[in-house]
Amino acid sequence: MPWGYDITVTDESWPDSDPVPGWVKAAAAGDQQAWDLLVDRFGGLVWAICREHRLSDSDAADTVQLTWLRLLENLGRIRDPQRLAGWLATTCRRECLAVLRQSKKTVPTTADSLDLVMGGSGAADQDVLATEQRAILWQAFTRLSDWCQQILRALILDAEEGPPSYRLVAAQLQTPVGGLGPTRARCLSQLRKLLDGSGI
Amino acid sequence: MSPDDPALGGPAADDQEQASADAARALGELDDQELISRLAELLGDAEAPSWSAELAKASYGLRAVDAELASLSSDSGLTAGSGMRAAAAPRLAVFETAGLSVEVEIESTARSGLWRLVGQLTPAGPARIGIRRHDGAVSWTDADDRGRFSADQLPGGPLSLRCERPGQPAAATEWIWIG
Repeated sequence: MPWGYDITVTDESWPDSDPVPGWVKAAAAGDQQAWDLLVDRFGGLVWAICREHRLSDSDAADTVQLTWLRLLENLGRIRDPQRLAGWLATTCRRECLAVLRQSKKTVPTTADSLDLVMGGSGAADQDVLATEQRAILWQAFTRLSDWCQQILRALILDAEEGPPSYRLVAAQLQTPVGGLGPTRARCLSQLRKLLDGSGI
Repeated sequence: MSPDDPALGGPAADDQEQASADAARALGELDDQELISRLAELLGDAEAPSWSAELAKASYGLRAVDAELASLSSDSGLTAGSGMRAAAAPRLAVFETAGLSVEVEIESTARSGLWRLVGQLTPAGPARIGIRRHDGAVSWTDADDRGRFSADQLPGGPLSLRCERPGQPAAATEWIWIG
C-alpha cells in the first residue's frame, strides 16, 4: 500500500470470517439447519467434481449422495473444517473412482485409475491438483458477498456466446450499467484476496 | 474411511495442506480472463438438480448417533485386478471397529439389478442386523449364533449395516455403494 497502511473496505462485499467451521460443529452436535447450510453451500461443488470425472447423471447422483453420507458419518472428526471444500472434493473424487471401477459398464483403463492403484504419481497427481483447484475456487467464490456472486454469475452466464452484454446484465440485475465494470473488478479483486488467503 | 485419510490427520494431512497451497498458488497466477474462464467451467458443472439438495438435507436423519462407526478396512472392489473378469466375482468388504469385524460378501443375483449380501461377524455371535438404505428404509435380519447373516433382493445404491449385539454398543458400518 503506497501510504503504508491497510485500507479496510467496510462495505458488504468484505468477507466475514468463514461460517463453515461453525456449521460443521453445530451439525456434529445435532443441528439440522447447520447441515442444510452446508448442503446449500457445497452441493454445487460435489456435482462439479462428479461431472469432472465424467460420471453419468445417475452415477453422479448416487456419488453425490454417498459423499454427503460420508460427511455425515465423519462430522465429529473433521480435522480442518476450514478446508471442508477440499475434504468434500477429495471424498467425492474417491467415490467417483470407486464407481468407475465397480461399474460393470466401464473397465477403467485410464492412467489415473492405474496410478491410484499402483500408488504412482503423474496423471493421478494432475487430477488431484485439478480437483483441489476446483475446491479452493469454489470456497473462495462462495465467501464473496451475495452481490458479488450474483454479478459474476450473471456476467459469466451472459458471456457464453461471446463478451458479456453489460447492458443486458445491468437490466437483469436492475443496477446502473456504469457501475458494473468497477464492481466486477472489485469482486474479482476480492476473489483473489480470498484465494491468496486460502493457501495457508 | 481408511486410517490414512487426510481428514484424520497424520502425514496425508500435510500432503492435503500442500495440495491446497499449490492449488491456491496456481489459481493466483491466472490472469483475470483465465480466472473467469475457470469459474465459468466450475459454475457450469456445479448446476445441481433441486431434488439432490433436498435428498442430501433429508439424509441428516440417517445419522447413527448412538452407534460406533465400523470403518471400511478393505474392499475387493477397490483393489487392482478389478475389471471385467473380477467383476463377476463376489465383492468382499470388511468393516472394523474396536471389538468387532463385519465381513460382507456382495454379489449380483440372477435377477439383474438386485444384490445378495452374506455377512459374518467376528467375534462370532448373535446380533440384530439392520440394513440401512439412504432413503431411510431399514430392513432387519438376524445374525445366528455363529455370527452369520444374509439378505437378498437388495437394490443397488448406498448401504450401511447396523449391528446390535446383546450387551454391546451398537455399531454402524461406513456407507458403501453396492451395484
